[in-house]
Parts: sequence; structure tokens; C-alpha cells
Amino acid sequence: MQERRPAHAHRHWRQRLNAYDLILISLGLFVVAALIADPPIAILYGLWNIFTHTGHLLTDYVAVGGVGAALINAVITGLCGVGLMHRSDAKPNGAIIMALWLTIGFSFFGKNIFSMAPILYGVWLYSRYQREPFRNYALVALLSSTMCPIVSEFNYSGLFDPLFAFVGSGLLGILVGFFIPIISAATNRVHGGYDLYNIGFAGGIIAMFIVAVRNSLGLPVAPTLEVSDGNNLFFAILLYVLFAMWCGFSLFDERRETILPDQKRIAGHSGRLVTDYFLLYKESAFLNMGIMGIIGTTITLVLGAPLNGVSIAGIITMMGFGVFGKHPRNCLPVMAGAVLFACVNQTPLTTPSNIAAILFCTGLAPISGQYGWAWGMLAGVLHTAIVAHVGQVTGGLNLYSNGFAAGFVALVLVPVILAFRRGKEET
Amino acid sequence: MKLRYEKSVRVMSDIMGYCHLIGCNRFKVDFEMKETTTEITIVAEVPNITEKQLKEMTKLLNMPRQHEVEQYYWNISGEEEIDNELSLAGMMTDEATVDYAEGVLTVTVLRCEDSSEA
Repeated sequence: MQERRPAHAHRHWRQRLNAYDLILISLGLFVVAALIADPPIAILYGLWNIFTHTGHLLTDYVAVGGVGAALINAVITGLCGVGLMHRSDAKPNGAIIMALWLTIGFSFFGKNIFSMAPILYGVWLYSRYQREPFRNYALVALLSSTMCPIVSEFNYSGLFDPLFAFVGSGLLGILVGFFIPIISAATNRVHGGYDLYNIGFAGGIIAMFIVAVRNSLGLPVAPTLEVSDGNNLFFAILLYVLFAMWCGFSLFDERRETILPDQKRIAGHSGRLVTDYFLLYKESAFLNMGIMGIIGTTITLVLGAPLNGVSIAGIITMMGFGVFGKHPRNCLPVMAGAVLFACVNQTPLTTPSNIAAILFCTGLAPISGQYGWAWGMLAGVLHTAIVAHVGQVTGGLNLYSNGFAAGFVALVLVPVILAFRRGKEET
Repeated sequence: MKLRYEKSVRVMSDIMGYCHLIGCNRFKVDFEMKETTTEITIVAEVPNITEKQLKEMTKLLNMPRQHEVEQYYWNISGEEEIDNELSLAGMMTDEATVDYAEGVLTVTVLRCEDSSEA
């Protein structure tokens, strides 16, 4: 009698790998790069520095802990993110792949597993309170780590007694995690899906309240600016290899002949929430991810800006959203507007705030995708103008402060565009 | 499942918005909430619909259910005035059928309530 083979035994090894496996392979690349950059002892010492830092904006973990430690920090948060998705039985889709890369990217720039843990626990508590499976909240749990500095800044600011700071920061994180699913669901309606970083908008509002209360109590959040420089060659090689890998992963799609036509179809979407290229085009969408990463890295280098924690977070975010709303056609006009404004504003073009605005303004890509390049450019200009100001209101406690700024731009710009369009239609 | 009625109405609104975008101005809606399922049938008079549009609509509405996406983004659905790609409606439903005959488009979607409560 012939032995029955499991169904997956007939599948090619490439088709047995899912998106989570591909992220794990990418994290393997980070481990190799970290060990090339720094010896293990230096990495451990750097990790300690990262875990005990306030981590609020602008804190570049490459400056705080070194290249190797920042990479391993990204690996740790990435592994926890993938593990959490497995544990909660959330199947890979564009939103989750994006959220995982967003988490990994911001592990160079304010996130670590200790500051994430209380917030994740708060989201889990909320799912229990609602008597719903945690799987339903897995996406918002990953994204809610935008509030990590709420925990780490409270714990390590030196304003409080160490025991009070430890317990208080944990409780504050749990409280924020409990409420962020409610607030972030509500803020979606404010911008109508034109701000891809909705959780940044919700997080900005929460951070604004916390900063206001702390200022009233005479416990202000001290601004910080720690950024690194001088690692362009190392990070450029690492990032280009990573993006080449993801371009290559698109070949895992069984329908190879559709990979290039799918890029044309992806470019035909406005990118407005919720547009999931992975569900629509499967692994073909990974080519768009790779391309978005290459564009982000190349623009950063061409502008003469350093590849550091800030810019790497922006570039990896662009890559992650390459499977959930962004593509070159809707991103480049917004970036062009941001570059134009960064050239004429008072701060030098390559300052961290300008570079962050140029990379993260792509959260407004759906405006360009839906209403054309001219409105997209205007969105980029307005975003770059407003982002520095809203950062002050949130005290650097909201990592996705560009999402907060983008929410305001969408809130103002989209109704204006619609009014002009209606006026045009009526005449 | 929380907000069951609100979410189902958003799905209905999304589909009606899409039908309006492709030229429909007259709808008949059947909306039925049972103990564990919600079934929505929309009958729309659409004079012209291309084969490509029909295929696209069927594909989008038959996307696998995405509970975590629904939980986070359901509030965006139902904004029929602007770009409407039906993706979210597809992610919020378990089954969908799309039929077109003699100028009448019939869309039926089924939402099953999540049985795996914590």
C-alpha cells in the first residue's frame, strides 16, 4: 500500500515559506551584520544602554548603543512580534507584515521589548475586557508600540524615585495599551484613511494629554537629540542587500509571469486605507516593498543625509508599507514636496527632522494616489511645515509623530480638495 | 462580537457605494441579522457593467476574513463618496456571491460572528 504524503510535501520549498519566515530570514541578516559590526560584549553593553534609555524623540539607538546593539534590538523586537502573531494565530496579511516592519524599523529609534511589554499587556487586557480573542487586537497591539517612550521616559527620566518610576511606568503603559484600541479606531474617521499612520495620530493625541498633565504638575519632558553619523557605507550595504532579498522573495510567487504586471496594477491603486497588496497580489507585492526601500535609501544618500536610526526607521517604514498602500507613483510626489520645503525652511536640509519628514511624509501617499501629483506635493510641503511643531506638543513621547502631523494635513487638505472637485463638477 | 450591527451596516454601505460608483441609482436591500450570522443582499440596477468589473468585485468581496484588520479599520468603511475598492468589505465578510443578469446586479454577503471568544 502506498504511503500517503502530507499535502505540503508536494510543494516546493519556496512555497512552504510564509511571510513570517521571510521576516525571520531578514532578521538573520541583521544578526550577521551585528556580529560583523561589533563584538558580542560591546553588543550586550550597548543593549543595556538602549534598555535603560528614555528613548523619546529624537533618540537614535545607534548613537545610544552602537550599530551592533541597535541591530540586535531590532532582531529581539522583530522576533517577539512574529512570535506574538504566531501565538495569537494571526495569519500574515499586508497590515501585519507592515506592522512587523514598522516595529523592526522603530527598534532603531525608540522601541525596545521592555518599553513595549506593558503596552502589549494593556491591549491584551482590553481584549479580555471585550471578551474577544487577542487575535482581533494583534494588529493594533503591534502598532501601539508607538507609545513606547511613555514607558521608558517615565522610567528613566530621573524625575522620580526608581521604584515609583518602575511601577508607575508599567502602569502607565498598561493604561495606554488598554485605551489605544478605542482611540485609534475612532481617529480613522478623522482623516478618512488618507493618513497611513493612523496609530501615530491616535498616539499623538494621547501623548498630548500626558504632556499637558505633566507640564501642569511641573514635570515636563526634557527634549533630547542623540543621533549618529558615519555609518553610511555599512548601513547602505545592509539595506540594499535586505531590499534585494525582498525583491527576490517576489519570485516565490507561483505566478511568476504576473510579477511585473502586478507592479503596474499596484501603481494603479490610490493606496488609501485599506489597500492590502499582499492579499491582492500575493508575493508579487514583495517586489514593491524592495523597490520602496531602495527609493528611500537612495534619496537619503543623494541628499547627503546620514544613515542612522532616524533615517533607517523611515526607510524600513517605507518598505513595510510597500505591501499596504505605498508605491513609487503615490510616494514620489509627496516626497518631492517635502524636499522642496526642506530646501527653503530655516533648518539645513539634512537635519534629522527634515530627513524624517521627507521619508515619513509618504504616510500621505494616498492623497497623491487619489487626487494627483500636485495635491500630493502640497501634502508633502504642509507635512514638513507642521511636523516640527506637533512634535513639541507631544513632547517626543509619540514615536510616530509624523503620523500625528499627517493626520492634521489630511484632515485639512482632503475636504479642501473635495470642495474644489465638487465646484469643478458643478460648473 | 462587538458593534455587530454597526459593522454590518458599514459593509452594506461600502457595497452600495461601489454600485453607485459604477452607475447604479436604484437599490433594494435585504438585511437580516440572525443569532450567529448576518446576511445582506443588495439588488442593484446597473445598466452597464464590464466583465472585468464583475470579476474584480467578486475577487475583492471573496478576500479571506481578516478579523484583526476589521477590528482596527472598520471605522473607515462606508465612505462611499470617494475611492472605494471594496477591499475592506471583503475582509469583513466570510462569503460573497455576485450575479449579473439583464441589467440587475445581485450581491449577497454573509458575516459570521467570531465564535472563538476569549
